[in-house]
Amino acid sequence: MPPLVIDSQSPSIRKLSVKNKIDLYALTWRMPVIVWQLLFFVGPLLFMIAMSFFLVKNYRMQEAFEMKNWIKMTSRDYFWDAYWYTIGLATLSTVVTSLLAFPAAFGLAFKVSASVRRWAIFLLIIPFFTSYLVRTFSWYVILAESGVANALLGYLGLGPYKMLNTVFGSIVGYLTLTFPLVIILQTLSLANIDRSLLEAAQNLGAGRLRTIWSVTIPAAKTGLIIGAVFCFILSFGDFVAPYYLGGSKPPTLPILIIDTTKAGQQWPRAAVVAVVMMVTLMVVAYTAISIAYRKRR
Amino acid sequence: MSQAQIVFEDVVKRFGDTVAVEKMNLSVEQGEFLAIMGSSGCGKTTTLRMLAGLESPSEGEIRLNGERINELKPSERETPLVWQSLALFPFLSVIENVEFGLRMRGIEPAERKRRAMVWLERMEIAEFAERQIDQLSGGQKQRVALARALVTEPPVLLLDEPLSALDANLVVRMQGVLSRLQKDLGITFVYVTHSQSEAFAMADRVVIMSQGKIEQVGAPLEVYRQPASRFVAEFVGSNNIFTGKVAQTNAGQVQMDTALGVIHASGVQTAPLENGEDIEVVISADNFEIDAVPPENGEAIPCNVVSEEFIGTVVSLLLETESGVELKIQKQQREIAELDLHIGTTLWVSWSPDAVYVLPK
Repeated sequence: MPPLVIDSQSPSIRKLSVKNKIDLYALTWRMPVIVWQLLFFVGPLLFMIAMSFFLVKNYRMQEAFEMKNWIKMTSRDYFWDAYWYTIGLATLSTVVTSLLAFPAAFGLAFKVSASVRRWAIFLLIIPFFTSYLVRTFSWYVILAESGVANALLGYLGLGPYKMLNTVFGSIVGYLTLTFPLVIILQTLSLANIDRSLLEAAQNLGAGRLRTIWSVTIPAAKTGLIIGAVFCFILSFGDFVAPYYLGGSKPPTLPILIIDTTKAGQQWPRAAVVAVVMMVTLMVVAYTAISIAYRKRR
Repeated sequence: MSQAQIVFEDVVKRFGDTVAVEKMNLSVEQGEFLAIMGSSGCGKTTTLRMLAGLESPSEGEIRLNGERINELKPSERETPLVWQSLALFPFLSVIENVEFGLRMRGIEPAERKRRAMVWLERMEIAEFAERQIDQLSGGQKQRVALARALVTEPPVLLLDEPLSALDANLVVRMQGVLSRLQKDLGITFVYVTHSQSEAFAMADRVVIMSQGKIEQVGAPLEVYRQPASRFVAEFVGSNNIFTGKVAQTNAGQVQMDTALGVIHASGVQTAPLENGEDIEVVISADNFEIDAVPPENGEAIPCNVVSEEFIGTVVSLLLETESGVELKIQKQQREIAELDLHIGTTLWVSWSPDAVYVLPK
């Protein structure tokens, strides 16, 4: 076939001249945010980092700049055990939550009308009205050895199972915290997919499952990853679920912080743990967000 | 007789209480370029989507190569569609988009890459193979969408207003690309558009739809010169329609009274007309003669210029007779250059009895 005529149009990249002048108007409006961040985020963070170098003598904290706390914490096996256990637990929570949320979000995004979807999202916000601690304690009643779940399983001739003070218990607690939020985030990202992309996939020969795998998920990738990041951050930093439902043994990092502060007012050592947690979350969040917004698969 | 490739038999499509397509009967020959035209909501896109399996007919049967396809899923059909929005996958590169259909058919990577490259070269976009979709211009995206749809070598290509987002120059160029592609491949194109110029420029046959019903099927010239209904006559644009009463008939010669006065028509093909019967006649805008002075044989009407619109080589004039009847007239710009037209200029308008077309009842 002879070559076809090609159009000469191609997208041009406009280069904007960089303004060096400080825009006073814009700066004025940005000021409140900047001040807020400095006062309530950067300030405390710097103080916490500084505190991790302080020393405790006779149960009193003294200003210092010593590596003692860092050496003490990072040379202990129990610290690293707790570190990897927390990462493992948060990862498990993220995987379980994301997988459980996806079918629900998929149904809300594609199988119901827009008004049902609005109501569902409203209902998913309602759990946040009550204290997370209260909701966790209601699980206590359900999951206990002689609790509701085991009573019901007993009718079926099963159990009793030990559900409290297990990894299962922790995950149930994490789900209580993160599940509604992850469903909402996933639903919004799925509902925003251009429907013609899904039709195009089917039109080109993809069955239902392949369409989900090769078009729906990649198209909603950003929102799905952001949902997972939220889940990881919340689970990683949560103290309630692993303490009350997971039995606090082995301890997670948040439990380690509590224990450290209780035992001999060791706030500087707790600060070490907190700084390590912050850095970990920053690395995880940054990596995930850059994957979420990366162009290529 | 050769069997038609695509057949719609008494196809009805309802969405709740609204009827989108009503008792459609249509057959398309293999290798034909068919354009389906109509204003928005006329059922043309629904018709196309039923062919692709994205909607299923409420009643009737759709056949492809003699086989009923009503129940086939979209993924089981070989009827790729080019969307108005193009629906390219933004998370895949150009070549991955083109490979998609082959990947779904389980073709191994090396082979599908080779076949995708053949199509990218054919569409002259091979150099952009590794680019992201958002790095392409509108015309380049169009080519990717075509390559993606055609790479599986389907027997039919469906197009849903694919050129509506492009600017005017590019539309004409892409029309050329599409026409040539269709002829070279020898496959059937079903092309949905609201644009008369697109449909007339490319199609072998045109289907005009209105409110879910087919108004007329025919070659572009046929639809243009012999509209089957008042709707078609109005839809194809530059027609003047007059209502009147038959005054006298004689072997294809009809004389009638209209707002324009007594009009003669010759070569009338419609069913026998009776005196006093109400009729509608069409005189196409390009079938008028205009002059600054009355012609010698006297058969002309004086009109005043109301407005003048210059569209490229063609000038559209709106004239008004002394009795207030408006006439739409189109002329080549060079033909009327010497008339020195202004608003209010008086012109003498005439037409031949051959140019008067009587609309079927």
